[in-house]
Amino acid sequence: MSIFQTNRFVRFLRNYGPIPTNDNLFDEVIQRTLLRERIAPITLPVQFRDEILANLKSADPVSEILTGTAGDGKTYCCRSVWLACGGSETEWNGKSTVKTVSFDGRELIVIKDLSELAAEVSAPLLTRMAECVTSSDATTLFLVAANHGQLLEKLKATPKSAATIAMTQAVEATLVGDAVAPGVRLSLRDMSQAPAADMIGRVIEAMTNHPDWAQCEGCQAAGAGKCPIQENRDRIRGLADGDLLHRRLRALIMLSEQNGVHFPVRQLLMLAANLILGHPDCRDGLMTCADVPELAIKGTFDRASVFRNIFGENLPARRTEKIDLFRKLNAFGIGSEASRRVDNVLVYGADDPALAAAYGELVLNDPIYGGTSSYRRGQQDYLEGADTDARDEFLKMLRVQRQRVFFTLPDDRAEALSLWDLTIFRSGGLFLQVADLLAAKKTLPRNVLPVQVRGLNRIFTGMLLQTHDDLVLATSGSYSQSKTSPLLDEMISVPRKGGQKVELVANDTGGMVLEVRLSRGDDPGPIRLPLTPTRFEFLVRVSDGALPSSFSLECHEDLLAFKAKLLTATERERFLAADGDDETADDELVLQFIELDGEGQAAVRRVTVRL
Amino acid sequence: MSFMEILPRPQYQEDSSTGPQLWIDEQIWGHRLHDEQTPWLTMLEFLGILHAEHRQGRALSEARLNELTYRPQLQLRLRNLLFNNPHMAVVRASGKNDEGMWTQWLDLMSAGAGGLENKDFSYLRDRFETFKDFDAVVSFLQGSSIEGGGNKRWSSKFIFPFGVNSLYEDAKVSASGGVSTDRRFFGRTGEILYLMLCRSKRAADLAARLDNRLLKVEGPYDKLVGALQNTAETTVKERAGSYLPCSQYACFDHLAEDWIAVLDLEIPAYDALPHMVTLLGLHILLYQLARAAEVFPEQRKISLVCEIVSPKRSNVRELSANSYQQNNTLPGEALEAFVRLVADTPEWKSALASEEAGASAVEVLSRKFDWPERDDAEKVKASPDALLAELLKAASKRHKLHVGKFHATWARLIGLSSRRASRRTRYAPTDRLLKTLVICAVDGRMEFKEFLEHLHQRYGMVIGDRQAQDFIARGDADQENFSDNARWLEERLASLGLLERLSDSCAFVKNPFKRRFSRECT
Repeated sequence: MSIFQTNRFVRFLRNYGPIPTNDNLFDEVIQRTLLRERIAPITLPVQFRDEILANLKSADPVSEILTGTAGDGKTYCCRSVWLACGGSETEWNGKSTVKTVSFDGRELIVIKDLSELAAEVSAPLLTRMAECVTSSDATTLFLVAANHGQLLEKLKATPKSAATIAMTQAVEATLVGDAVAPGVRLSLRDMSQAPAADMIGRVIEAMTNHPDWAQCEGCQAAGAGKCPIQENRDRIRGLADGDLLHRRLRALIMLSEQNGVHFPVRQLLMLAANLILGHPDCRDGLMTCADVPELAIKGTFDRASVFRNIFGENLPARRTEKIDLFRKLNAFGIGSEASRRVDNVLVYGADDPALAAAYGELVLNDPIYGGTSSYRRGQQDYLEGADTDARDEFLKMLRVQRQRVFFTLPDDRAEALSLWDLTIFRSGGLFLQVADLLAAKKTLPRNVLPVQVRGLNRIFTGMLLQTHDDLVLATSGSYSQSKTSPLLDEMISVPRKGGQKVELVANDTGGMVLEVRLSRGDDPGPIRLPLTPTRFEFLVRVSDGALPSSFSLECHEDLLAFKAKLLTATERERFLAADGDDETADDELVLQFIELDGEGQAAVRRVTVRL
Repeated sequence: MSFMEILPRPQYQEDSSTGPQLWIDEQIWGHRLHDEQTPWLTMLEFLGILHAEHRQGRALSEARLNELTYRPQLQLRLRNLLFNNPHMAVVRASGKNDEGMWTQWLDLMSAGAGGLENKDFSYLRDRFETFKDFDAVVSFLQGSSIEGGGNKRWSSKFIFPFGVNSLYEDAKVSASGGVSTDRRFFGRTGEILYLMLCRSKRAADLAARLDNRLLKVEGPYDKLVGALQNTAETTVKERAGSYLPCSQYACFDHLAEDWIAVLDLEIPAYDALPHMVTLLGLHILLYQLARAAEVFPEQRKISLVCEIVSPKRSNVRELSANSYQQNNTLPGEALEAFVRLVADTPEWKSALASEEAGASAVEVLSRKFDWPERDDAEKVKASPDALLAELLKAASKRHKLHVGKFHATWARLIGLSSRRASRRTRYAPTDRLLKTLVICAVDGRMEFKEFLEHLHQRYGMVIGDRQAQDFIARGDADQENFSDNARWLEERLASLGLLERLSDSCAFVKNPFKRRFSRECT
């Protein structure tokens, strides 16, 4: 029996990773490789497949456009629909991009990738499609897959006719979320709206539970230690940590998605492969079976740390910056952001008896990626006043440890050690907790809404208000951009009062909006501010009185725009309340100045001017 | 020089021998582009003229070219109350009762107010219930002044243009109380702006909108300002002497269109104004460059290579600094070339050949540039070459004082240029400028690529790789440098809530505000 084995599946997996030529990520090529290598495919649920089939087979079917970002699995989905409609595997694997299949007396024309078609080919097809979708004929149906950009480009390149214009408008409207004009028999599904937070678990499961891992049994390439590939696989399977790593990863992805950042399936596959195989000392930053004995000799298994692989740190920085996936994950600043409490444990834990327990739990209990001998040595040197090089080296190691702690700190210790201080979203955990409570229609912790309201009040007035029972809607009298707004427009009660109310409500994508009601009726209706994690964080920090500049610009404008909306609504409200009359006397003007009382609460001072 | 349109110098100036001695910068750009007048002050000067002309029923229409005369408002009582009134704090701290405070303050004002014949402010007592109320209103209005932070003289401070009551001319008030117009901060750039818009194809459309949205509206705060001023004061003498050298120009039309696009947004006029200020700044800056380029026979097309500031530096920074540098020196080069062109004219050649070369040269230069005086005996004796050299020197020296600084100053003021993280100034638009460009250009939504192209076509801005083809072809930059630059812009706009990304390949720039009518021209 050979003690060094090569697992075909590990070699195959590499192709999903961040290698310079990751051809393998195209569905077509994957199918061929799997056949050749006799590997069972990694199967993932096909998003939209059932809905599309139900539509195509219904009494009143419409054509389908499947769009999304590169790597969302459009071709994969088309193929699956094709097979389910009776198309053959052989024909699918043939050269042609446009395929036709008949079923139930209907004809389905599948364009598996619109971008592959030259304009002179796509134009007549799209013209025909436009004619079909704008007529009442339901016997010819289309299923078209295209990236957003290509879709619009091809539509623009198609000769203008009433039908193509109607279809183009419908597509544009759907893409940006506007209502579609009636009479266009078209459904557009955007795969980039799929929740990647759910998908990551399935990707990891499919990848780590693949039957071909069995080939590793009996392999002794790692010598006395445990093969880092297996180690990483086990870590992300969550067998030992009760799925903790997976849950934290999921939290990051959810926060990103709530901020409007999308992770296509292809990137999730890349992430999972990188988690398992990442090691900076190997070719392309990814381990192969053959690398393992050498790493064992050098004793550098710890550098395969699954926790730094999450951020692509197994790759040269230059490359990591170029890869969209890692740019998104590094936006959290995990590793650079410091939680004072965590750093205390990591740096002084070995020496300080008060921290010993935490040190044992956070560092020593992970001899592979945590309390390694090199880490303990670096720490010792650092504390004993090592030279600059050694200090820099330790700070690098500290960065990796912070990354590890973020994914391993047990839930019950998270608050005490300020887990989320390890990210730039210090309120990230609170945001997710609030989102869950809202979705479950449960009561929120008492301080959540007041903090958000106080933040808004400070932005609205430009003053350091403490007020949080009322939303203080203020104006500057001149343009909205001015720094302070000393004039009161209206105080809007936060608890329900006379139709007024300010509250947080769940939205349909797992996030939340801040909703302001001015009256009981629908005119003016509720005014809503979608609270992304970034805005949530911004308001918390403004409320605390500390504001990092990186946040200030992007949110400030949004909030001023929200204020403008509120001002329009209060004006409408007063107009309706006055029953259309302009009640104010012509020869008098009343100004309401906002003043701060001793406690920082907003008080109002009325000044009358005779004109 | 025949290729450039240069209208004759206005009669008014020739007759009364007022106005500049040298007439060269003016022939290229008009009278005058003044670097010490900020875009905001240009807007205020413009609004003052607009209001004055509107009262005469001729807003944005010029009966004959370059014969504009107008009588702006003075509003000295208002100015004294807001900006020459250091007494409020003293009176407030005096601890007197309301009656006592009023009396003390009125006494102080009647001693200290400037430029007024009647220094009686007692009408204010009827307007306010208490002195404290009055105090609150004064400090509120002081807080809404335009660029009020500087230590300008009080008579050159301005309040936000709430409406017609808030408009007045820059003035000098001497210690003895004499009021004069020294054009220190209203340096006629507002007149240039006014004439540009008069001569745009859409002058009438624009005039109607300015009337509806700015002049006609009697907003509460403008009424408040009116109550402080009591009755409007207007200058006694007509202001004259404005001059713009061309009767039409593409950028006049662009500016009018852009202003109309902003005025048609469903936002309060107050909020439209800052965007209009930014746009007038951009267009006048481009006008200066475009006219300068006209002097050169090869007619360079103006381009502004813009770096979108990012955490990573690339050679786009270098290129945008070069582009800035080139444009910054272009007006000065144009001025010199413009003067030198005289040497190629038949008049000059025949003057040189004539017996009295000196006198003939003086005659030619004087006809073209109003310099030197025809009876300047010393100049007549000089050689024509020396004379031309002297003229060049004088013209160049004068140019450097103000017109030559215009591009640098205004580019910074409108947020087009920056020295952030670099020693060299470069074009690096700020978020505020970007926002103005978006809300001006976009109707509802526009594909990002189209937006980049629009910025290029209309303002010469080079941001993405498609627009930078020339630089890439010359080998000065990689495709990637500029495509990264465009990506940074995409990210900036997204973070400003002005862009929706659908995927790597496609994004829409969104205008958060609705427009009443869609833009007719792009």
